[in-house]
Amino acid sequence: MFADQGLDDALRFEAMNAAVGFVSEDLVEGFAAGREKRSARFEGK
Amino acid sequence: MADDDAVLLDIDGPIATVTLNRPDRLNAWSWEMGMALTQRMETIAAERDVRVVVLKGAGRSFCAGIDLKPDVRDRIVGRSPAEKVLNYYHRYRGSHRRTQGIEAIPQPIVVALHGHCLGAGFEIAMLADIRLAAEGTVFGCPEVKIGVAIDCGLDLRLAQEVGPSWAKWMTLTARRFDAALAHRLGLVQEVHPADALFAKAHELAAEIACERAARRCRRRSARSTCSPTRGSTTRSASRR
Repeated sequence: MFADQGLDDALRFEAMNAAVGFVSEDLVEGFAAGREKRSARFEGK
Repeated sequence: MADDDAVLLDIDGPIATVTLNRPDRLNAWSWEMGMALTQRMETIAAERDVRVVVLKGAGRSFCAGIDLKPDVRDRIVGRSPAEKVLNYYHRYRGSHRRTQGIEAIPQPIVVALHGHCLGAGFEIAMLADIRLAAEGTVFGCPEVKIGVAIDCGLDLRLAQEVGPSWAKWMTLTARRFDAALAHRLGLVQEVHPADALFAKAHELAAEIACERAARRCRRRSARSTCSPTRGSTTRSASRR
């Protein structure tokens, strides 16, 4: 949570987290789970 | 490249109506839709006779969240994982500039929500000044369930609108909630039967539009005093 930060600082932090997440294998599983309407089986990869 | 049909713009006197227009996919959010929405809002910002914006979705939902295409990761390339991360980072920062640009347009935005208001759709809804919802609208932040991070400031905006604990309840659990709770928390200002929603949104827009100069001044003032996330944007944006 970023309630004590400015918006731009928070967005930079979010962008970095999101970018790291987007190259993960778990993202592929998460999207597949979303399409198939089931719970994702994340492995931390 | 923006998809011109993904977001429609209709200007009728002082009211601009912007419609997310991928009803066959419940207006699932895509890169193209983001670009198209930005273009529409830039057009509106330059229209001196437009006094208020109504934002809505075509079909059964406002927006069901990000489009879960299998090839989504293939759209950003890099010679190494680190370079891909960097390229994604810059892409997100571009999205931030666009969402902040939407927040900064001089006209107030009234959003009419129905069906689903999830994830990226929730992000877009939170950029509006006033939110109306249809009975039965489902809200939620499903990001943690599909392995992505909230990426355009939704959690910060939620924390500032409803408080940090409710924002954590929404973002950490991904629970869906209804229009009644959204109204109780102050996320939406009015709830209407679904068949009356768009008419009510235009009625409210017409009310706002009737006092042009005063409303614009009030919007600037209201944004700077009531919306802390908009502070830097508001100050840096060019104003008429």
